[in-house]
Amino acid sequence: MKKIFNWLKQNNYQIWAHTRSENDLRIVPVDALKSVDFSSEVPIESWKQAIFPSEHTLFEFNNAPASPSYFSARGGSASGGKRGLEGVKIALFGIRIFDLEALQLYDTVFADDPYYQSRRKNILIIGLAPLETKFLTGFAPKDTPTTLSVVKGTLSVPKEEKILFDKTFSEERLSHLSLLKSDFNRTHIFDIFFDETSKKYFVGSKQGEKILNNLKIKTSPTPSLPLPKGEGKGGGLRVDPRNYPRESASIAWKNYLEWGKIVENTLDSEVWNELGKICLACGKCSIACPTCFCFDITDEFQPPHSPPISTGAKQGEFPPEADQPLAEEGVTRARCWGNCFYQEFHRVAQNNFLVDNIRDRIAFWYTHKFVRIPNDYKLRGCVGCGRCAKVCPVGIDIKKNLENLEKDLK
Amino acid sequence: MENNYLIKETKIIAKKQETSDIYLFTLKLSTQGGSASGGRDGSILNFNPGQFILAGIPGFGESAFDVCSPPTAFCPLGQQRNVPQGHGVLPKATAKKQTFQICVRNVGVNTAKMVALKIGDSIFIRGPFGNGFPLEKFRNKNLLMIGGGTGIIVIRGLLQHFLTSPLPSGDLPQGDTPPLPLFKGEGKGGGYPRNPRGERGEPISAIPYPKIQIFYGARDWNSLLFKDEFDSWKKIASVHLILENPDAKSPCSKGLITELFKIAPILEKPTIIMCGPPVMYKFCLQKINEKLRVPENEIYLSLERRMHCGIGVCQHCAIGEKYVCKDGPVFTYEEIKNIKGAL
Repeated sequence: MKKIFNWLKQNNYQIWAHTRSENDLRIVPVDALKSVDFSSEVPIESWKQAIFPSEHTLFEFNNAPASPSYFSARGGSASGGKRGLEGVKIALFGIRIFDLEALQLYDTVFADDPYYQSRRKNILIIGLAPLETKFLTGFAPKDTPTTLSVVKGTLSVPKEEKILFDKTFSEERLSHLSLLKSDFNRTHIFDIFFDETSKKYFVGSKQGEKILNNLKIKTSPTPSLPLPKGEGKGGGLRVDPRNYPRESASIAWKNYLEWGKIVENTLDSEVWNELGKICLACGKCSIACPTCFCFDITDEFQPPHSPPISTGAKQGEFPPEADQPLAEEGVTRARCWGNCFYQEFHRVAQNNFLVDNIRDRIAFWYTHKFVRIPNDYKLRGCVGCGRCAKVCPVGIDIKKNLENLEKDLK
Repeated sequence: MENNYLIKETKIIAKKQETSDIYLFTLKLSTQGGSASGGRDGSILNFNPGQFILAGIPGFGESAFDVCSPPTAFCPLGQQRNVPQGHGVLPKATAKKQTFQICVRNVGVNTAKMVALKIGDSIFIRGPFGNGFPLEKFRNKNLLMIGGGTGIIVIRGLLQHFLTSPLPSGDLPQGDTPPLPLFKGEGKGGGYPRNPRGERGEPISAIPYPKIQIFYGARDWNSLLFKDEFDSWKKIASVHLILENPDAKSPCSKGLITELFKIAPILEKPTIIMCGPPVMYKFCLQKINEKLRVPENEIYLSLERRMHCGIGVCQHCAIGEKYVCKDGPVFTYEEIKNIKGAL
């Protein structure tokens, strides 16, 4: 991994990694290998900020009718964004298996999104299964995988295998990250994956292969799912990955659908009422969640020039208003992270709010994770990372909630 | 890769005030100048009745509007055209009509700006999105269309389709044929060939036309939309109006829309198409259940939500496991009856 890090640095990649800042483990661009955290602790942030910035420009619009084209950037600046990362090569260094599964969801949701794709193509992904296998999360009281015990009449999988919050690496898990459409350049969503326990390097793309060859690192055959019918390497029909139940074979997937049924059938449960009473609707869980991809589209006027900074105000007073109102010249339409815990997210015409209480907004979030995402994309909407529980100021624990809902159903 | 977020410029061709706060806009995709997705090709919006567009003025956001004019493309009755969501631009040569209409009610920031625009000004749109009405399922069916308040806008779009679509040859409906309509120039959409085989002027007999009945309820006479179109609607439908507060001159009954279930003779075994406020759905569904016993998969409702993407990603319009944009906005009652918060 050290060699890879140095190679990335030499090749001018902006390297994002787990790094400790004061007491929190975060995911930010790093300069030196020594600041990279290789432990099993789950950071409070997710990788989505690197692949789907919290705000990015869809297009800019020039309102001046005399201008030959209304659009200053015809077709929009496809990968623009406030961070100004357009064209910058980014490496996600040390992304863990469950976070790769979240990334797989993003890749699928935004498969046809030109903004996402233009950014994604500059992103190199180096996965890591660290030596420590015990993952520390916010789950209380101790972090054992949740098991689904008995749901009436639907169980075909042994009780002890019905696991949701398992974060341990397995090659079988890696195989589900294979792509299901032809691509000359990649077979998996990652470029390189390193398993520290077996010391195996797996390759998921031509570029990954090139890097490892360059560094004279031996690779192991990468496990992958069989391609759907009609697909072959570098040829055949393009299959929409959404139509292919990628995880259908795995126990984790069957298990996940069970959780979906539990959520769907308990929407009247008292459990939600209790949650509604303690939840502050601060939205931290949604911000921390690696799979939350909701967004708002917002317009912002760009004044032609910044207002003059007033020097006339005395300390403790508001500065006087600028004499001239700002002329409105251009508009930026941007896509920003949305948050379904906020009332504003559910606003409809005439200041009405359709999901108008916290209880229902929590249920909305769970329904997205456990019902809509598996329905829409045949992928899990919760990868069990535990970030939501870790950041929650009032200690709401998704694992406990699911267990309570399950009890309620019986 | 299609960019669903880019907007197309339309010019306002006509603007008509329908009520104190509702305006009917006739729009045409601009053939030159500003369009981030290249409005120069084709430039005619292709859509099915019941589909919606996102429209607005950059800087003030976008709102969802049902396209309520007749289809721009030649579309035989009862045949669903495949209009891909968000990709609805029609080659000019195949279009029958270049303009389309939306009704804008001044209820927010964006719509306030929109209703202040004049003829010749620009409105920017994307779409169409959603699925529209399953027209093929309406073949040879009796249709009871129920519109409450602004819900009539959606009903009007569907009616315009029946008023202007050429009729295919096909099976006769059960019972009598409805009032004969429809030669060139009749009805509001006007100017379409109107006979089964596309030749103008050929008389129409044996029309496989659905019988249509319209229930339209509104607050008072002044809040009725499309008043000057009622006569043309009557050519293909029986129209029943009811007002909560009719004045002395209003030629209609007084009461809520559910009252019409008592006083109007209702078509036999109707398929129901409803659009209105949630409270209307609740009480109408009660009446339908009591009086008509229509199967739940033959009750169609058009829902309204605020949308940000239009393609089922952003989650703003999610209800239960469905999205109003991608899976709707037209749903059968069967599809949504168990979804909490849908109605």
